[in-house]
Amino acid sequence: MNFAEKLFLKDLRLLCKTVLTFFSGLAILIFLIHGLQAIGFNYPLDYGEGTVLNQTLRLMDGQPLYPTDISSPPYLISNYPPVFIFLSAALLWLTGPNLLIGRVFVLASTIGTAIVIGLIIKHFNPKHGYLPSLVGAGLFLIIPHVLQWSAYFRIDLLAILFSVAGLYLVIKAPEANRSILLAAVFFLLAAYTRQSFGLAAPVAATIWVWTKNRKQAIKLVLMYGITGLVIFGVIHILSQGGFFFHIIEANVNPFNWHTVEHFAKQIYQNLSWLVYLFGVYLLVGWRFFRSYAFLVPYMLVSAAVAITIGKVGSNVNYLLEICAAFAIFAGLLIGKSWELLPISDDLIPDLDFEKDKIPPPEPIEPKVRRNMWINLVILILISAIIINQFITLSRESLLSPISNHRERIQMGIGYRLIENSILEASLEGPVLADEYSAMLSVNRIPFYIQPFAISQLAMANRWDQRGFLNAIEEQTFPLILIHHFPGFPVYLERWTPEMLDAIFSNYVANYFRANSLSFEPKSFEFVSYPEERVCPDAPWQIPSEANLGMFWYNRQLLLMGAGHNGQVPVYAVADGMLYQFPEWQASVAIQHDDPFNPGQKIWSFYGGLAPAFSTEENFILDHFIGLKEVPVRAGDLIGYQGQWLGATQQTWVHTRFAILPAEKDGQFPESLKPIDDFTAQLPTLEELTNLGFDVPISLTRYTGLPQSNIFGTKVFLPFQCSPEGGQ
Amino acid sequence: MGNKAYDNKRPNILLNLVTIILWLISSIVGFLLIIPILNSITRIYAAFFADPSPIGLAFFLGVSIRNIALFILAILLLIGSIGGAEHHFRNINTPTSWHVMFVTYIILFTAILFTIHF
Repeated sequence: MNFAEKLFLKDLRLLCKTVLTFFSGLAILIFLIHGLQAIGFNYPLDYGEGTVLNQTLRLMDGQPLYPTDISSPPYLISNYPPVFIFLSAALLWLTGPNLLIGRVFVLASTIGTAIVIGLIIKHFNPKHGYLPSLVGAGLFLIIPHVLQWSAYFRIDLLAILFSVAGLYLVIKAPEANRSILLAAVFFLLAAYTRQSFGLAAPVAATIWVWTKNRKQAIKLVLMYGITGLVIFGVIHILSQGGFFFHIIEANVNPFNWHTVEHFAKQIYQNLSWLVYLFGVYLLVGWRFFRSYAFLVPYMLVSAAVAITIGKVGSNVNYLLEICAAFAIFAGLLIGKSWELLPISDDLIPDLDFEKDKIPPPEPIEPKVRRNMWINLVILILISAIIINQFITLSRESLLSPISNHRERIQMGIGYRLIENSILEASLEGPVLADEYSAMLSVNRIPFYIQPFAISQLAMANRWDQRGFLNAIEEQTFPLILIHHFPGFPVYLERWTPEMLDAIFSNYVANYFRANSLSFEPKSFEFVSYPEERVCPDAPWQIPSEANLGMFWYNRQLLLMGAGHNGQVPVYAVADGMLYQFPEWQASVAIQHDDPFNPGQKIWSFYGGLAPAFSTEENFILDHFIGLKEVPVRAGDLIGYQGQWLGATQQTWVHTRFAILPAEKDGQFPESLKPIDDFTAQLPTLEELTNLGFDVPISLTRYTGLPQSNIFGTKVFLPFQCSPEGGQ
Repeated sequence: MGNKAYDNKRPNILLNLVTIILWLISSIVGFLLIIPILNSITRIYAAFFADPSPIGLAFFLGVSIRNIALFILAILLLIGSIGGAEHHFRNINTPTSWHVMFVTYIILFTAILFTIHF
């Protein structure tokens, strides 16, 4: 073997090591910047933060975590066991209520988990330095689900830290009594931090120990099982049955297999190479990997537990364990590929050259030489796959959770305004909130209801909501905050249809800040509200309900109805002739006789009648599509609200409504035809006037709905009637 | 060892030429990579802090980071290029020279991967 061959054999390994180290380091850096960014943000990043913070404060105040009676306010459910809550209470006892300490705690738990993953990998690769551990730890931190969840004051990452710590102890010393005892304690802590983390790691640990020493495995099962049941029994008795109700019964939500499919696809897309390789590992891994006996059960049971993500309201926290399993797998893979085919140290040629002297060729056995090259090729291939995974995951993290959090953080002043409104309203009565409920806890304002958990119980007919509905109807609450994500109407899971109906009947959304609607009691004495989509004295109906408020933008009104895509009906505002112009994808227009200018025509426009980014299956009724001059009557159904704004934009479920002038012959103005696309440049009022159109047209005059004089930016308007309607 | 071809220190013109060409390519590629690396750093920065406002704090912070990164990369390029030349000149056609060349290309390859994907 000559010098050149030795150099390639040695330095191509250095290449793999360097590139892997760089991308692992980059992943860790991205994770840390994101974590620090989240820690520095004072307001809620997730609905669950409010719930956890509230439970912590209740514990600090000596209130029961698992009350047996939830038939009277406060209506609260504690979905999780108490370990995290106890530890958080200890920390918040020192600092007072805030999100910062909790987030630091969670970030530290995430880093701790990555370190333990590294230690597990190191145990199986003691000779291969830091790299396999760094790869496993870095990969765990950059998986978008882990990175996203590490920013929240929530329980899951502490639970996974406990579970992998237990796993590490039994992997390291399966026969030592101390390890078995400590592992059982860690598994119990994991299970009593979050119940679903009490399965995969203990099963994997038991099988691993079983392969080493059956007696120790039985010990582990008995210690974990019996102590776990005893603790459960004690808490159950102390809480007078409340514990079982809160963490088991109240957690049985409706199940949706589409959600499972969606997240399974996400895992597959993000970790596709590792999924394939794990398939191979499953088949032949027992021949090459010592880790097989613990990793296979850990992965499979984690996957089985992850299926519970199908429960309504579940999120990516159900995937954290399977992410840890894949991270361990990646590290073990790199460790193993460092030298897949074993070569005796005596037979390997000397690769440590003198600095200044080209070494002479060295005799080498052909088999050794071949194995060295096979090992190198395998290392390069596996490294390429892992590097590809790092790149995919880093990009996905930057595109999704990091960008989402950035957008959320950038809503800046909105949070302060919401907080001020909460503080003011709380002086008058209880405030209800969902996504931003943590703002209540931070300001020591008690919860009246935990909307999601209680609504799920009500929807399952396990909680009588009549008392709460009465309180809404009596306008007991000076402020109700309902979050409205642009992409998905989560509020439909957080509030029952009956609660929403009661809120829409008695409250009006007056402000829309940081994507949350501030509902305040309707003032029936001074303001009139649309009834059956009609405002008093207005000649036309309102095209669709907008219980979630309206946006005024460039003389168009986006009416936001409550419901999913394609569920909220859109009606003709008056008698007329409906046109669905061939170039339009998600809109229709109706030509009417102008009620204020007899003999003249005027147009009403209805846009956004399609799902986001797709108009192939739009929500316009079939018998209108592509047709013109179809007679319609006031109140005729023409389609349903959608999220479509244009080919590249989406927004809240809405319909876009406008009243437009007609050409002299009554036809739709050619210059306004691009209106189908929200982003299209339309003529200004001045240009329309120059073209001979009688503008501006008052939308208020025709429909009674309010409007704004502001141009160029979206203005939120409450769904109420303007006193100037019909004038 | 008895093999004279490996013992003597006769200059090998071909290998010297290869070293010079490889060094030259690495310096040029290193220079050409500076802007793509800055772009990738800016894109990562933007994922965290982008702000639509052209006069916002995020914009100026982004510009500052880019300028500082430019300074650091320029220094590194100078060190790598001049230091590399010096090292190869002193140790031409020795294991240490080839190893340094290999390491140089490993760094460039890593940087290329980074700029392609970020």
